Amino acid sequence: MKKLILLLITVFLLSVNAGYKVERIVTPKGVDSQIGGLDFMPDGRLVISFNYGKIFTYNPATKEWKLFAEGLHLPLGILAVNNHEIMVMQRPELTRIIDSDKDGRADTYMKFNDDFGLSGNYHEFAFGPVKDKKGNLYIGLNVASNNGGILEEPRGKYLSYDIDKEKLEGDYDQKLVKKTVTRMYSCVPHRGWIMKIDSKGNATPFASGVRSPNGLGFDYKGRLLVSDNQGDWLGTSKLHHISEGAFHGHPASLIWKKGWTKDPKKMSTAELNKIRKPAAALFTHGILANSPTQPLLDTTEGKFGPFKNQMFIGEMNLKRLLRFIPDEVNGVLQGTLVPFLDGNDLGNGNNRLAFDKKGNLWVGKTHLSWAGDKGLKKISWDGNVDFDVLKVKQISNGFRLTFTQKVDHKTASEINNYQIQRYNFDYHAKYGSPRNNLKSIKATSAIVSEDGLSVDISLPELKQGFVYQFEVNKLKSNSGEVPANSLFCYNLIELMK
Amino acid sequence: MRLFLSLIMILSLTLNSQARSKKKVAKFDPVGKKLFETNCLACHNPIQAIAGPTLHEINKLYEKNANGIVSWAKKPGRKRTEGIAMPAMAHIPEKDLKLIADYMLYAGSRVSRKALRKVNAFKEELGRIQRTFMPNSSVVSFAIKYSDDLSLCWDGEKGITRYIWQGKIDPKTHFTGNGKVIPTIEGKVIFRSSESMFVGLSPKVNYQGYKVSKEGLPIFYYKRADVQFSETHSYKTGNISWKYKISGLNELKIKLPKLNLYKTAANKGSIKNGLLILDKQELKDFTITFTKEK
Repeated sequence: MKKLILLLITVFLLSVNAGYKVERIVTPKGVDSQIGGLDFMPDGRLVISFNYGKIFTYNPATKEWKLFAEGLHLPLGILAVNNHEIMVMQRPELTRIIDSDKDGRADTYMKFNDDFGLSGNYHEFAFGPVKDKKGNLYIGLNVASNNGGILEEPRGKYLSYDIDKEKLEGDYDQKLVKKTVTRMYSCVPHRGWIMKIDSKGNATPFASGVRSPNGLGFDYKGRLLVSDNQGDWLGTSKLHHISEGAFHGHPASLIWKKGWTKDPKKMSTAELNKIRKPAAALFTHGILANSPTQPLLDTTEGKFGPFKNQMFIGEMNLKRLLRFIPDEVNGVLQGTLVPFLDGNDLGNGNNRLAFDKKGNLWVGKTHLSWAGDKGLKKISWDGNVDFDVLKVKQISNGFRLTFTQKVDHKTASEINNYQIQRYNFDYHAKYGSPRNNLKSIKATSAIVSEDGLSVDISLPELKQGFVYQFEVNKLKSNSGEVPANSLFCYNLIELMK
Repeated sequence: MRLFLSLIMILSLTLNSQARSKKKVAKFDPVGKKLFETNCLACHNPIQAIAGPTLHEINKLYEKNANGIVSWAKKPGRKRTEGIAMPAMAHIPEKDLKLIADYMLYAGSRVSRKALRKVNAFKEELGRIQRTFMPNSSVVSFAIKYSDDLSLCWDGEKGITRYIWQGKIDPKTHFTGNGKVIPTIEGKVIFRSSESMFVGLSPKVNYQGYKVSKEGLPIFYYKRADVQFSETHSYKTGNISWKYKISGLNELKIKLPKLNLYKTAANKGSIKNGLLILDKQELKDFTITFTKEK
C-alpha cells in the first residue's frame, strides 16, 4: 500500500510543473466562461469579458464576482483605464464603458472608434486594444473566411476582385464562394490590418498583412508584437513585429492600402515576398504551437521567475504557454520561442493573459468552436528556478545559450548533446506548410563559459531565412537537473554583420 | 488510510457496475487513450461540444463501428456547416486510428446521464440590451428586450428601430459558436421599417453610444449631420415610450410609426398632413408613446 501511495504522489508531483502552481478559479455560475478579455484595474480587481457579452469584475482578495457590464457583441479584448472605466474591443467597435456613479456597475457605453468595416462574416474578429507610451491604442482586425458569407447590410465600402456583393450575402452559393473567393478575404476596410487609434479616437491604418491577429502586446522596448495563426499565406503561426506601413504577409488586406489598385491574387509569390516583413518568430506547427494567442511582457520584476524582458504567449490548441526570448541583430527584432508551461493542470484554450500586482499570471480560456477550453486559471511561482534556457543570442558563428542555472560541464561540452535542425516554411496561398529544407546540423564546438551559465555553440554555417531548432534534453545542470523545456526554436532573419 | 481504501472500493464498485452494462464498451487500450488525448481531445470532449461532436455523440453515431470512425478520420467530409472542417488524420497510422476509435467508443459509451444533464442544463440569461448580428438589420444591431413578450431591433448604422416583435431572441442561437449563426427572433413582428421617421434629415448617422436607464433600457445618443439626438426607451404597464431630446433644428417633421395593435401618440407638436410637426422648443423634450389597444 505504501508503494501505491508513493506512486500516486510521484504521478501527482510529475503532473505539476516544478516552480509553478496552477489553480483553477471558479467563474460565475450561469455564465459561459469563455474569456475574450482580461485585465487588472488599479485597485486590484480583475476585469473579464466573457465571449457572449458579459463583463465581470473579480476581487481576488474576497473571491467576489460582480457583473460590471453586459450586452456586448463578442468582446475579445479589454483594457482597464481606471477603477471605473474600461475600454473594450467588441465586434462592431471599440467602446468606452464607464461606471459613472461608481457603484461597481457600468451605466455608460460610448463608442470610442468604429472606423473600420464589418461585413458580418463570422471570422471578422477584432482584438486589442493595447496602449503605447504616448496613449495611442492599437487593435487588430481579422480577415473574413470563405467558409462563410456576409450579411446584406455590412458597414464600410464593399470591394472584392473575386465576387459581387450579392453573391456573398444571405443564403449564398457555398460552392461558388469556395471556388471563386480566396480562402480568407478582406471585402470591407481595413480587415487584415492593425489600426492605430489616437487618444481622441481617430483611427489610422497602421500596418497590413495580418490574418488572425489574436493577441497584441508591447515588448520591453515598446515594440508592438502580434501573434498570427497558421493558415493560407502562413506556413506556420507567427509572431510579427508590427511596424508602421509594413506589410506582414497576408495579401488580402493589401486592397485597402492607399493608392493600391492591383488584385493581390494576380501577384506572384515572389512579388509579395519582396514587399513583406518577415516575422520576428515562428511557432513551428505541431512542435511549438498550433494557435498562439496574446503575448504579454513579463513586468513582474522577478516575481514570476527570471524572465525579465521576455514575453509569455498563450496557446489555444495545445496545453501550453510559451516564452519569447528576444534577440536584436542589426537592429532587427528576431528571437526564440520556447515552451514555458505544459500539461493537464494548465490545459488548452489559453487565450488571454494578465499579471496581478503580486506577480501571478492569470489565464483566460476560450475555444470559439475551435480546439480550446473555457474557464480561468491562476499561475503562481514558488521562487524555485528550474534548469531552463534563459537566453539565446546569435554570435558570429553560432548561438550563445544562457541557462537559468550553471550547466554540468561534461554534458554541456559534448556537441552530440545538441540536436540541431534547420528548416523553413513555404510562403504560399495554400493552408500551412510542411517543414521544408530540413537539415540536421552538427555543432562544431560547444564551449562552456567561465561562469558555467552559458554555452557557445559553433555551427559550420548560419543561414538566413531558417528556423534553428534545438533539442537539449541530454544536458544537465551542475546539480543534475534536466532542462524543464528542452526544445526551442530561433528564427534567423538577420545574420550578424 | 481508511478514507483512501474506501475511495478505492467505491472506485472499484463503480467500475464493476459500469462493466456490467450491456451498452457500454468493456475495455480500451491505454495507448489508444494517450493517442486520443494527443490528437483528438482538443476538439472532441466527452460531453461538451467544442469544435467537433462529443464522444457521447460519436458513440451514438458509430456504435460498434470503430472502422467507420477510422475511415472518416482518414478522409473527413463535412456534415456540419457550423465551425470548422475536421483536418484529415492521414498522418496517423491506421492501427493507431483504430486504437483511437476504440477508445472514443469506450469513453463515449461511459458518459453518464448526470454529466450530460449538467452540461445541457447551462442557460445563460441575456440582458435587456444585447448587441449582436440580427436578421434583417445592419451588422451594427441591438436587441432590446422590453419584456419576454416584446423586443425591439435597433440599428446603429441607421439610428432607427428596424422592427419590433412579440418575443425575444432565441437564446440557443445567441449562446453558440463563433458568430456564424445569426441569432433568430422568436415571435411575430408587429412593426418593421428601414427608414428614419425623421423627415428630410440626413440618413447618415454618427452613432455615439448609449447609457443604461434605471429601468435597464437604453438612452441612445447619435447625430445626423449637426443635429444631436438622445432617444430614451421605456416600457411600463405594457406600453412603449420613446423620449427624444433633439438640438440643432428649428423644426422637425416626423412620420409617426404605426405598430400593429398599438395606438401611437405624441405629447407635443401638431399633426399636419399625417406628419407630427415640432418646433425648436418642443424638440428639446418630447415623447412618442405606443399604447396597447384593448
